[in-house]
Amino acid sequence: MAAQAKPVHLGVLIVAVVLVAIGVGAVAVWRIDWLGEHGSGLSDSFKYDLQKYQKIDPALFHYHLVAEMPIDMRDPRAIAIGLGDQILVAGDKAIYVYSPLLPGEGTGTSVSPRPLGEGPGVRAAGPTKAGRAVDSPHPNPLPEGEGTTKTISLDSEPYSLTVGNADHAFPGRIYVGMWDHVETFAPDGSHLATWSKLGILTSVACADKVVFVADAHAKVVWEFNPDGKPLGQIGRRSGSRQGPMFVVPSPYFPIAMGPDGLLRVSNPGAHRVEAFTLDGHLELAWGKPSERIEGFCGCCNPAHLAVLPDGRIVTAEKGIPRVKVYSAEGTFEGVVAGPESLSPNLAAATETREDLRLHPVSVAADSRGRILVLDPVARCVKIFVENQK
Amino acid sequence: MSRPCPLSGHRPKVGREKARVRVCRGGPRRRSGTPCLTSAAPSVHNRVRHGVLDLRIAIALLALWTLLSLPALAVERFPPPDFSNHQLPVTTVPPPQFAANPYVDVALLALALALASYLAIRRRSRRGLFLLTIASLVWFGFIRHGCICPVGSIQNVTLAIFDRAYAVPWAVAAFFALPILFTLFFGRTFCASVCPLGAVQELVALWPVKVPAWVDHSLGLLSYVYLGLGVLFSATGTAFLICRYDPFVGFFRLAASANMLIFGACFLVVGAFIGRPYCRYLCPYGALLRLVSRFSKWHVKIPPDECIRCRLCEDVCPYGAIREPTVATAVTERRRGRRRLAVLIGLAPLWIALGFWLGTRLEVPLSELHPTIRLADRIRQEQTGRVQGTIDASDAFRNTGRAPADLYRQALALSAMFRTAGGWFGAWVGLVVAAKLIHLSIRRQRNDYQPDRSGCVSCGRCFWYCPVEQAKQGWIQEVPGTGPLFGENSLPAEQAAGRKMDLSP
Amino acid sequence: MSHQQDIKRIMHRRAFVGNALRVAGALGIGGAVAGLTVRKGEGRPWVWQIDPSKCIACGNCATHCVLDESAVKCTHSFGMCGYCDLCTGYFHPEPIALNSGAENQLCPTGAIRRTFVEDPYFEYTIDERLCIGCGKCVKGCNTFGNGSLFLQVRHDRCQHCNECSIAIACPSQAYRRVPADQPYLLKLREAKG
Ligand code: SF4
Ligand code: SF4
Ligand code: SF4
Ligand code: SF4
Repeated sequence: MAAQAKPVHLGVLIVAVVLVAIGVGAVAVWRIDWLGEHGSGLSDSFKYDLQKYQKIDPALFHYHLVAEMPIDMRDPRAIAIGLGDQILVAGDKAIYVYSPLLPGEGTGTSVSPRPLGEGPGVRAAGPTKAGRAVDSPHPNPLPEGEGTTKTISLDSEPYSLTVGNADHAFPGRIYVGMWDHVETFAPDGSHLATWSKLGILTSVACADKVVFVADAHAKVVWEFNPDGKPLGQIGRRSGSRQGPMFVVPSPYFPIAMGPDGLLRVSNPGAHRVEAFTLDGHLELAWGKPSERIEGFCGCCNPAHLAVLPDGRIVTAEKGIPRVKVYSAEGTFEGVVAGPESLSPNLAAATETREDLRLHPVSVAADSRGRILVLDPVARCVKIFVENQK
Repeated sequence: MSRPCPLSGHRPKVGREKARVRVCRGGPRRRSGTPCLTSAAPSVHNRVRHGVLDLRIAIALLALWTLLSLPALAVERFPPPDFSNHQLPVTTVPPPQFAANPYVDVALLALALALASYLAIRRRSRRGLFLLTIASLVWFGFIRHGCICPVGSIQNVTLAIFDRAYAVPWAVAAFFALPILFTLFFGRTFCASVCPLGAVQELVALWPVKVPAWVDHSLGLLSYVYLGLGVLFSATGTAFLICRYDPFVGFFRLAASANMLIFGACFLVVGAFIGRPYCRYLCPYGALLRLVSRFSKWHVKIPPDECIRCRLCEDVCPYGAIREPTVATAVTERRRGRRRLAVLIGLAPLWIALGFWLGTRLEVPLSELHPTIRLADRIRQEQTGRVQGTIDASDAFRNTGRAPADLYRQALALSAMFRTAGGWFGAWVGLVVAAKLIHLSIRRQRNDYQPDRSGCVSCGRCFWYCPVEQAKQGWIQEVPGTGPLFGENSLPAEQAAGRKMDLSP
Repeated sequence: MSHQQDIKRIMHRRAFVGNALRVAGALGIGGAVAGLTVRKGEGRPWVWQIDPSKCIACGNCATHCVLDESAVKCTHSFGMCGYCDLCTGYFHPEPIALNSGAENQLCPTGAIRRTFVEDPYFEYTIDERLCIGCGKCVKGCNTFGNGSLFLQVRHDRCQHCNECSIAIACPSQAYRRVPADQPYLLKLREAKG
């Protein structure tokens, strides 16, 4: 109405203003980043970046990946080497017993499975189909389709595992750390005993006549005889010292028995590996907190330990997933695996799994010095061998 | 760890994710001979043809899937240290603060609607309506932050219909239904002075110009399209599009992204010249009310009594809603009109069918708004190396350890759902176009100046222009004699303008 | 005259039918909507919340909220915390020293307070007035620690948008509607309020 009464140029002006407004509005709408495609727009000081520490100098790698063995489990948690280098993997309320890798370099062709005999309590798991979550260029050392796995069923979820070696009072006896107690099994898989309840068990290790159990709740290492009779503990609060000896902020508190007769205990909150004599005397301690390769990263590491036949220590870290080898005295030697060769999920910035649990890799070493890394996210065992000098 | 499926009691063995998809697969049935998903087509867009999908089942299953992804309560929890003398602090969890108690809220809405209807139809008080408009703007806009409003509630109601897991809160349902009920009896009095979006635009409609009829009619169709889109995306659980592009809620909250504020400001600038551009050309709730208002029992009238056809009100409606009396048409003309109407009615099913067909073609662009389909596309592109690097979303997906094939399967089901939904959306647009054409070619007989029932927002701006009203109010001595005046007698108009100045410039 | 009456009668009938239809329509709409609300319980209000098990702390929460200062803040489930000396949610990856020096702190706004409890434990609390919800500490804590730090929509600040703006931009689809009387998805049940 108004436009008609006013001079014509006003009408033109109005049309122009309206068109410009529509144009500007359209551009504004177009530029809205509803979907967050351009990220948060926060400056770098608001970003958490570990890139620098995730890159590892290739010269430091002393091991290389030779094979991957898929584990048909939803949630594999622990790995151990049994008598004659059998491979035991615990998870999904069961223990899978795999036949040893062939002595060869561990390539797919030279490794062949040998079935274990049936025994009481052992049931054949049937052919394991390789339920692989990762596409790997590496061969599977256990050919598909051949039923090589024996399964020991458990009542609840296992968390740790060890097998008595040839020097142990009961060679081949299997000690399984459940959440709060230990179950033992004979080499043939038959159930032996359920030990009394403890705190939160994260690791088991056996010496010749005793078994050590790491308790992350009580923050001590219990010592038992092979039948579950408590003998003592390492790491009690002593005298004037207020705090616990082992700083264990999370259920990652590994121990491992070395051929030198010393028990290696990770003190994750202190970023140290400590060595104890069998009667509980601290013999030596080493390690320092650092994101750099020679240190232990994050707030509580190492998360898993293994000892090589020659006494060197293998450490596995969570956060920045990496497996490294130290001399028995704690000198950093080299890297076995880093974020590139372990499942990328472990290197991811944030925990997004439903059970809110970190899934650090666990490690074991067989009698030939091969390092077996259980990658729970990729659901496979990765086999690393030392580079030829 | 693995929970049984609530439908079948099936306990997933390997990976919960797989089991979920196994459930989801109940929806679409693949035709035999189509390629398997895991051997995946080069793009998710190369979508496997599915049979007709029951939208509701798919959405229900989707909801189920969301339900299943609740974090598992890990019974085995690592405890905090045994402090010798320290109490763990309690994590504070402040309860939700709503701007208003829902009872108060709904009561106020009903009160405002009743008042608006009374003021518009009984009292015929522009001033009262105007004051109510401001009150509504303050309460429903700035105090309640314009959220949730009846416009957005369309989507909540739609979602509640299609998603079994979602119950629309009763207050929201009331917000949806009350204005419609009032409109059914009193016309769009909600738009007049209850809706905060309408209120903002009402206040800035300073120099309204007449929009050419064809522009008005064609832009008016947009709101029905927008309504269709809003329903489509909320029914599929994709997005609340209407809320996303609400131009004024940013002003009400006094906080919004810069682009949103610019968008809103542009609407206000346009609104200064084109009255209520959002209400007329976009508002999906307005589209609903337009339909309902057509059948309202009562409606505002321009003259309080008999129209004297003075034509004084002809151009005063800022929203172009005043219809002039019809002139009698020749018989031949009428006959031709009737024939055209018959043809148009006959064509309507064709329009709808065409719309449906075109709508199914919209599967890809429509589904692109769904986060799961976007994610599946991205993962596919990353896997085939068509894009380099990862984005947060693909990183997050990999972090879950879920197999891409599962994701693709889910995306395909969704995408089939979008094809069906797109078809219905297209059919709706076809129906709207057909109805518009039919409506335009129906001749109605009008003897006086009347507001167009669907377009009129009952703002009452035209009341004071009518000399009959002026005489009734006692502003002029008597009503000029009946019959067309052709505006020569400009006195009433000037007086009206004078009266008008103090409220709406 | 009779014609007039006819017209009147017709008008009457029309008005009656119209009214009947209107009342039927009103009852229909009212009934349908009421049915929708009562179908699933009492139709309680919903609010938006982050599922911490999905969130990847991408940072969008800090910037995509309709509020200038995001309604999302860091939340600490104290019962999950390890009370570490070297808290990776508090300290830079390579801190110079384990003290509260600004150069050692991860949080860009200094919103985390570190207090000594007893050897060897330290407690970390969030100052919500300073936290902007960027999630940097959440990443640090989740990467190495127990994940006791996580982001939540703080409902004293949230506007309860009908469609949460951050939910649209969330790359991990971590947002979902939760009943308003259980408005938090805390990581630890015991800490639930
Ligand atoms: S009340 Fe009058 S001025 Fe207002 S929209 Fe209706 S016809 Fe137009
Ligand atoms: S947008 Fe999503 S993933 Fe990013 S920080 Fe927020 S909740 Fe976490
Ligand atoms: S790092 Fe970010 S999320 Fe964490 S406390 Fe600081 S501002 Fe809040
Ligand atoms: S609902 Fe609105 S106010 Fe609340 S967090 Fe989301 S965007 Fe922010």
